Amino acid sequence: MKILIVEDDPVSRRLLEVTLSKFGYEVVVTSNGNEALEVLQGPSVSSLVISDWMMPGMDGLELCRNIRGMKKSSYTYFIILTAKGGKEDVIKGLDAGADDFLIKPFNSEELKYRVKIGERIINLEQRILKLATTDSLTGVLNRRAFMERMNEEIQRAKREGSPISLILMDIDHFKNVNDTYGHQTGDLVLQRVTDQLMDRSRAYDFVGRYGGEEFVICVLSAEDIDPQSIAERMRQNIEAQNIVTDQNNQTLHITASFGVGTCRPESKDGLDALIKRTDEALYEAKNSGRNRVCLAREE
Amino acid sequence: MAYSDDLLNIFDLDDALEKVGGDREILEEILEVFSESYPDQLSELKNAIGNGDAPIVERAAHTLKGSVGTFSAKKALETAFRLEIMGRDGLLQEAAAEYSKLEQEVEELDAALRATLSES
Repeated sequence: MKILIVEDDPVSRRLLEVTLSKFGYEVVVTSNGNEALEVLQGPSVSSLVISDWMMPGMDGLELCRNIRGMKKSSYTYFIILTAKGGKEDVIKGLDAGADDFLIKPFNSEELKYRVKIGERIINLEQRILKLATTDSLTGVLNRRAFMERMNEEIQRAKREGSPISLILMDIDHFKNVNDTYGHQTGDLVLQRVTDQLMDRSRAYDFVGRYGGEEFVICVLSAEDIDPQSIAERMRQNIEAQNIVTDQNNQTLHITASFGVGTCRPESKDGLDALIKRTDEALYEAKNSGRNRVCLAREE
Repeated sequence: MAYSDDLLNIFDLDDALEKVGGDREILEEILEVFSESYPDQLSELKNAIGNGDAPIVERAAHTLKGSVGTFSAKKALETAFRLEIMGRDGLLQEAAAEYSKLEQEVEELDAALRATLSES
């Protein structure tokens, strides 16, 4: 776990840094609230912040309020340091959104356990978040989580002026698999097909389960790569895959149909319009014989 | 080794060690940081007193209090705290005298820490 330290006093700062490193934590060090906010708005994720209260510029209280006002995908646990006999009052800190207090000069053992409490809460939150966003059968994003992320990525792509693509995929004749081999085999097919989608998507793309046997893949910055060829490789891999059933070692062959749609940065289209066009392409792939990739019309 | 009451008033090694989990190396390391940083902290405080800037007096004294508190430095901590209160209340009449005391105590602390921690 990465911990962000915010402390203007060099002695206390170094003490926190050395002690927390000794406990095995990765530590990022800043000396005031403004610096800390910059770090928190950057790409590196510190889920726990230990901040001094009184600092030049932005103080700990204001930093805490700022963090609480940020739109963050995960919780930031905030421990505020106060000095014995100082005017800092605990209620004010709690009101600003602090989770815990540590009185300076602090004892390293106490620090350790306070941080552990924070870590427990952060881990719990992450487990719940994972459960709430994952499709339990296949391990990919569930529909809601995929759509949320896709929406964010479309906004980002538009800001950055890059195109973004959506692949919509549907397993061919899936109902027959369930009817013929039973639902356990149906589940196995969904898992094996997901493996191929994951295998063929790049690290920064992401896969979600759209519905029963329908999957979605987001292909980011589709400028230098061709999303159609990614879909085509997925299609080929699925077609080539032998799925051996658990029950009687039968080998199944599955195919899937794909629709590919792209949202250009200059487009006014949102996610709904992109899905609609891509769905039409998928429909076309189904209607023209299945096991193929069809490109959505340009808007 | 027994410490005299005088030295205990400057700083309490046992207490300071306990706070860092008995790790003397940590204490030695932060002493380095302290020796480097206290002159700047003192001059910030001195300037603020000279300028009659009470909020900065409060904050700078508070920060120094935190620094010396790490070493359980009773005397310097109390003096820094008095300066912090003066800053908070905006009553700086006696701040200059209090500052001279703090400066002396902090230098004394630094020397005592160096002498003690470089032992053994």
